[in-house]
Amino acid sequence: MIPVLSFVQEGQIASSTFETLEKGMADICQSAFGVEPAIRWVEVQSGNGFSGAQPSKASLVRMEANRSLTQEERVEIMEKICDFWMENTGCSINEIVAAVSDPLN
Amino acid sequence: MPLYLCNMKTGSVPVEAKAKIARDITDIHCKATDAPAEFVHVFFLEEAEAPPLDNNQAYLQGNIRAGRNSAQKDEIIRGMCGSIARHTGLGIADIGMQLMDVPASWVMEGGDVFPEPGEEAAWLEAHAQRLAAEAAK
Repeated sequence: MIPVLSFVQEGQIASSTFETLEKGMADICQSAFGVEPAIRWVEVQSGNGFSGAQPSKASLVRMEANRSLTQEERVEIMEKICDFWMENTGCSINEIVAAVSDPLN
Repeated sequence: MPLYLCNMKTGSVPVEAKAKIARDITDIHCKATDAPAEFVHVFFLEEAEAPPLDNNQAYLQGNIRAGRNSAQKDEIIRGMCGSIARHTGLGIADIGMQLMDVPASWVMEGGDVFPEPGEEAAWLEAHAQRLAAEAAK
């Protein structure tokens, strides 16, 4: 399983969209790593998220790879996450942060 | 990036204090690192699974780009814990904090891989030009 931690701001993403996002994350993980993701959602409550000290609209998706990645591979995965997120949530490119780490342990 | 996660016991950080603490965290990070404010994300969580509260009333975990030195990290920790104490009335001993180094190359923001520390100005300029070019298409 690929650990995926996703922070979203309360009310920014329709509840019906979460399933689509999970499916998309599963496709990305299967394509890149050959395994399913273990997704944990953290919804930041209204009034609790700030970006640049202003109320935040940002989503952050953090994925931990199961092997060391080349930078080319990593960038491709991060681009897929950003493109998929924008396509399905309507957010702008400045409202999605993607991070893909090598194995942490 | 950076991403500061402030986990807290329910009710230990008043609602009106959060915007003030977020402002302080942003200012302190930018002063210590010269990073642009728009890169700084601060999320408050209540009794979340992570970062661990342990015996603290509030625990701040900063995920920052690797490459900051000890003096910068000391300034960040001292300043941010002080801000939380000042705005909440908590004692310093009730506040925990940890900084985690994250390679810039592992993060994409605004559709571009994050710049190494010190390369933000060039990155912002190139990023703005790329967005303008895409908008003009």
